[in-house]
Amino acid sequence: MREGFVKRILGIASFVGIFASLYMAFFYAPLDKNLGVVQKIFYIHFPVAIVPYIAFFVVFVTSILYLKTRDGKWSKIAYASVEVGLVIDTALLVTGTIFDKPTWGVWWVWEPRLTTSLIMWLLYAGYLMLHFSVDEIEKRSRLTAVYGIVAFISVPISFMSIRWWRTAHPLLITPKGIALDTPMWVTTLVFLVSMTFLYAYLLRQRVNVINLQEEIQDLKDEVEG
Amino acid sequence: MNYMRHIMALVQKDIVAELRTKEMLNSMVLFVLLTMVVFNFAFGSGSAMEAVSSGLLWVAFMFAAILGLNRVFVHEKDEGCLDGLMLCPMDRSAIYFSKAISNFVFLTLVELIAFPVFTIFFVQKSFLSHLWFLIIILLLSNVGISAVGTLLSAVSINTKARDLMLPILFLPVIVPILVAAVKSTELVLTASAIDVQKFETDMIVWLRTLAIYDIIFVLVGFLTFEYVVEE
Amino acid sequence: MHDTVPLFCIDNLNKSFGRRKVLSELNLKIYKGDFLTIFGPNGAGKTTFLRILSTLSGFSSGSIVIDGVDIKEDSSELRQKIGLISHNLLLYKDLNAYENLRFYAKMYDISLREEKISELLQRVELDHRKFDVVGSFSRGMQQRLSIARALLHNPEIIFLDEPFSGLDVHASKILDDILEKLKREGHTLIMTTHNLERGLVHANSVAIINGGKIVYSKRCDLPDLNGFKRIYYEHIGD
Repeated sequence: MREGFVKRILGIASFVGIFASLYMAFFYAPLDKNLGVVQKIFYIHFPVAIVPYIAFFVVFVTSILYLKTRDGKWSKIAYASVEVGLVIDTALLVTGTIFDKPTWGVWWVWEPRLTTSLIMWLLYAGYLMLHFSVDEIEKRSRLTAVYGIVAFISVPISFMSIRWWRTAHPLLITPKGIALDTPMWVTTLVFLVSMTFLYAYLLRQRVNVINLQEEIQDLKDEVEG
Repeated sequence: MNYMRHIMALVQKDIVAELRTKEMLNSMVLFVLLTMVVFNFAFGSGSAMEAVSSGLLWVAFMFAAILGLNRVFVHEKDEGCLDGLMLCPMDRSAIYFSKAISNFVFLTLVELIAFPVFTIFFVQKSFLSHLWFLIIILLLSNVGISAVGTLLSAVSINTKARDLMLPILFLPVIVPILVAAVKSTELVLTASAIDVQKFETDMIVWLRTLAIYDIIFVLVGFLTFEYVVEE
Repeated sequence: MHDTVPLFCIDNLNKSFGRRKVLSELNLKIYKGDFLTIFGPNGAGKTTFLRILSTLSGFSSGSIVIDGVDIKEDSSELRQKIGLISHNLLLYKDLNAYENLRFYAKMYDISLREEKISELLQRVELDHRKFDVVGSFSRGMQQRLSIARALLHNPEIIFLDEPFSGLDVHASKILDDILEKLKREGHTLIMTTHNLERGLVHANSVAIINGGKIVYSKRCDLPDLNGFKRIYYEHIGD
């Protein structure tokens, strides 16, 4: 009963939230003076930039919890969070290139935040590869947990090093901060909260699916004897 | 005290075994040299080459490192030797430290052989006044590479894909080392062209990055290695 | 010779690899000074059981108490008392016989290293090949050296995982002599094998594992080979 209730609340919240945010982005927030309508993509670009950090932080915490408790539920959450985080990170890379083209004139700028997200994408694609490369569940959970810890710790150091690397290049256009007025900020924050709800909802659903797959396997084993 | 003795015995064992066949060292050195020649054909020579030479050097070193790291646990898996080590009455992190140390030694050796060749091929300006910086850069980078690499090598040897897995796991994690090593080496190679103060402030940034990375990942390796090798 | 207090108390031991249950509800007591042979068909869980007892493998639930100490408490202390002879050599092929033994002697903090190494090399009749690289040895010689390796720290408890598989006649004879001597000296020996004849030679205690469970065990007054064969096939249902 309660399980279903939480799931429904998360589902409704993210559905309503995303539509409200889209409405706000187009009809509530004013048009940007310099960038015009292109700036609208920022409202989705910002939340999909933040949520992967939340997702991979969840991977980090659940990986530690798995190694401490050896409870399989933690490794399931970690794996599901990697999948959802990767999807959202992909959305970030896509919106990033769309945003870059009209603003900087090129599809890709090796700018610290975007570059870090790309490296993060590669790190967690590696996590998935590792996951599929071990058959035995207990061993797989252990190895991916260790990698989940290593990968997350390397992200901030990567970000710092890429930032220093870039500032050492005077030729590059420095990304100017986009000046946001209040309605713009409100819209961004509403979008961020809705996107977080969506992440939580997808994570929950993914874990459910993994549990169901396991149940099916159990039943199959039983039938086969 | 016993802990240190165990680590030294393990390192000595690895080094004696490697020096007997030199399989890994030889292939690492040849690999680095080949990479340099291939890069020369890919980028041409002259000023274009000079601009990317420190990047080239570190790409070659990273791939050679992967070559070596892939071998770290091969001998231990061969005849069930890892079981033999796991049965020894000691903390299993000693296995981690010994493997990281022997890998560090091999990598440094390869770099010491390859670097002079690199300067003959690609470096025209003299940088001897900054040689000490270069040695510090090499050593700090090798600590980081060995610390993370040994841990991830243990992870990948336990997978079905084995040696295919290591570069995929290792390269994205090692990005900070790669960035810092390339930029600081570039500083050394172009030292005469920039003023002393800029050289020093920039160099400190990169050396600090390397040191922070080293400390963090030696700790992470020490704390998580046992989870990788247990059954 | 036979104590009444068991050295190993194994209670409700469970081990699964992911979804596959390898050992289930396994109970067994092993007494000090016994030579226990564990029989069972391939895949019955013998090797897994031995790896758990020798601290190489963890287990899912249940308890193992060795000499009054829980196996999970202090494995490091316990490992000093354990030796393993397996069909895996546990030797480095690029090192010579002496270097291999010296390495393990260091790992076990053995005093009087040189004397111990010479004595063991003589015992397995390899002293004339002391400085030859192990990779150049015949399989039989490698296995003899592997036996010497396991006995370096004079372990109280010796695990033998299919020790006779792949051994030539000469090496088997040496291993037989060594096992007989270890038994006399009061070591506790635990061996797994699927070879009924071999397994009964030294044993004074037997157990049969099938499907992850102990299906038969007996201590002292063991049946003869033919009698045991009948019991064995009865219990593995073949």
